[in-house]
Amino acid sequence: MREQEFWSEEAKQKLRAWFCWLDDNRGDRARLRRAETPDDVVLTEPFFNFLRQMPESWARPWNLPIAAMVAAVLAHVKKDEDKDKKDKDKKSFAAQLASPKPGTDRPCMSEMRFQQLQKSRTPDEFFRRLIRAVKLADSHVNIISLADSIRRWMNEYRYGISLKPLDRLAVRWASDYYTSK
Amino acid sequence: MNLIEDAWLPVLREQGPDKIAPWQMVEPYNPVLEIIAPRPDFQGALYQFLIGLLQTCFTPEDHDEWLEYWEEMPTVEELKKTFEKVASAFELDKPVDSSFLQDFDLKAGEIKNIAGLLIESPGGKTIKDNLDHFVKGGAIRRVCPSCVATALFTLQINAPSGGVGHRVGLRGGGPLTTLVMPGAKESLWKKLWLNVLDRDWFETTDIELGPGIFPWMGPTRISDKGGKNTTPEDVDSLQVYWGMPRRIRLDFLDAEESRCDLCGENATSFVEKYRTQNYGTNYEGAWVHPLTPYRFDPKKEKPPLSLKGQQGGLGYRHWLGVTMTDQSSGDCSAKVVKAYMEERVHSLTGESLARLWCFGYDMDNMKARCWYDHEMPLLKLDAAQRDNLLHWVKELVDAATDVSGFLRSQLKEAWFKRAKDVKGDMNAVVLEFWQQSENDFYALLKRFSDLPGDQRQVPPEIYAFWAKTIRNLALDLFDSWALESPVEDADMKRIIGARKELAKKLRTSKAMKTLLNKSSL
Repeated sequence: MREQEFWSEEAKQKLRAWFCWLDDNRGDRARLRRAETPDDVVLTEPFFNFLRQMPESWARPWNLPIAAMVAAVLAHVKKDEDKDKKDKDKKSFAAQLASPKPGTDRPCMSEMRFQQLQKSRTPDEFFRRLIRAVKLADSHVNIISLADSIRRWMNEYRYGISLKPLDRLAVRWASDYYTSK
Repeated sequence: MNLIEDAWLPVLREQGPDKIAPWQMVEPYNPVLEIIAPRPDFQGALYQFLIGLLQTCFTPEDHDEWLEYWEEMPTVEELKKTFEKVASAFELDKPVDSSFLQDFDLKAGEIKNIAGLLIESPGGKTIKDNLDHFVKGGAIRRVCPSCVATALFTLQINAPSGGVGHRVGLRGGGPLTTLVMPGAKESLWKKLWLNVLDRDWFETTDIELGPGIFPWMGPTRISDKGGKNTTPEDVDSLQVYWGMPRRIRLDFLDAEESRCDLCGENATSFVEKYRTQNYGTNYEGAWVHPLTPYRFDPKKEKPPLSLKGQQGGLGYRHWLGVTMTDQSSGDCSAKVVKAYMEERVHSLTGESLARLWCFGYDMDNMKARCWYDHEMPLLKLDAAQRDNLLHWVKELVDAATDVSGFLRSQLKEAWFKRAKDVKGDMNAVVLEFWQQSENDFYALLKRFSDLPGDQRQVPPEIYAFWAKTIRNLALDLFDSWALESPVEDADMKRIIGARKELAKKLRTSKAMKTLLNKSSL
């Protein structure tokens, strides 16, 4: 999925709208949450509902694996962090992982786990660790940033990493994580 | 072989390669365009040989005469006649008489293989210890007279320190040479003539053929215990072109026609061995070679120091030092460059601006680390513009120097846990920074040179442009050096921390702040 496509106002709004809609459709959310791999959701009705609410391009064959992972991971998010802030004022997903656990000065996701998440070798492994990360952040995350991370990870997995280091997910994440404190 | 009368110089004529005697360079038919030496250090040496020859025999009286010969080169007869005056000093292989650049009366001496004349060849101990990993010994066994003459001249003008009493060249070991080259395609004559000074710039008297100019024409001024040094007061000023720090005698032998190991051409006479002895001419004192930039002691106490080939290469950060004269710091460009910048460029209107060709060895004592060859632009400036430029360019280069230093130190922080304790050569990183900002820098120089001399202020957008250029370049290079490897192997915390620090320094350093302040005036 290409950058502009993903970051269009339309796509962002639709994603947020679906996320709110999910609150009133607990059955869909429960079924998405039960998925053990992104593939598990592809042929389900909740995923069909998701695609119906998203821009058409999300349903193209090459975008389906990304869309499936986004839907399945977002189902684990309880609250879209800072929903009312402007995009540029929001903390990114990686920065949220570094913000301190309430009552301690340690980050919600330890450096160790964070590095493991980055080193995931397959989409299934990444998926499991990502859900773990969402839970560690107390299920309050920036959903647009999270979805974008999934998109970037999948693109790098399929097409290789960019020549420009700053375009790479690992570098962006590390940069957000280590400078957020 | 006589280096004046015989055809030994490898050149490119309009219609192909040829070998010529020096005076043939002005032959009007099928003109000579360029020297084509088999090695880059030979290329530089042959240029200096011919420039030295012209300066010795054919010094123009004044600027006007210089211009006349620039417009129209001398005739073959004219040049041949003037070179012939010194022909007897340029015999290469006379076993008893004085021979070109060889010791007058060397009786004994250590016998060495001819490869030892080449500056990069491994020394005896290196070969004995089997340490000639990169430059192998034993590849050069026999050398033709043309190559041996060039090799000998190359060694004598560049001679590094070579062990006890093996003296360095007149400009020190591995000096930097800067030659003014025409900006457009020109004949060899014009390329050489730009580097010949008239009598107002280089004082000479009528030449007297002898050891005053050519030290090999008499007994060597030995410099062992009880020997003597050789200062500019002791000998003729023209000896700068013909210095002979090393005592060497070549042994020629005739052979069946076969190939020379250096140029690959067939010859029937070869040199395989030479003899050498230490304590040759020891050049001391205020020697100033017209083709080399110097740093003068502003207090005028110490003798001037020639610029040498530098570790990390040559770049625009040396531009000021090799093209301009800065009285306050004592940096002084080579005399031929000064003559061009202050006088000649103003007479050569309508011609494209000359370029400066800088080359030389980077020597670590007697070990050749690198050969550098670099071209820089020259500008047409009046005195006021030169003053302004000195000031402006310093600001730009200072900022770039700071930035390159930050890049180096933060990369080290990113790469190593205990960066302070890590030693090693980080020059590749810095070099890349200088090389990649070079084009932008020279483009700015061109804009500077278009500003009138009474304009003391630089347009703010120039500062803004430069600040942005070097800042972005430093960050880009940091990213590619520190982050291009797979993330699994990298300590991202350390890298991101170092990057943040780099970005901060790029905002807050003194030189960058100066740029930024001036860019918002």
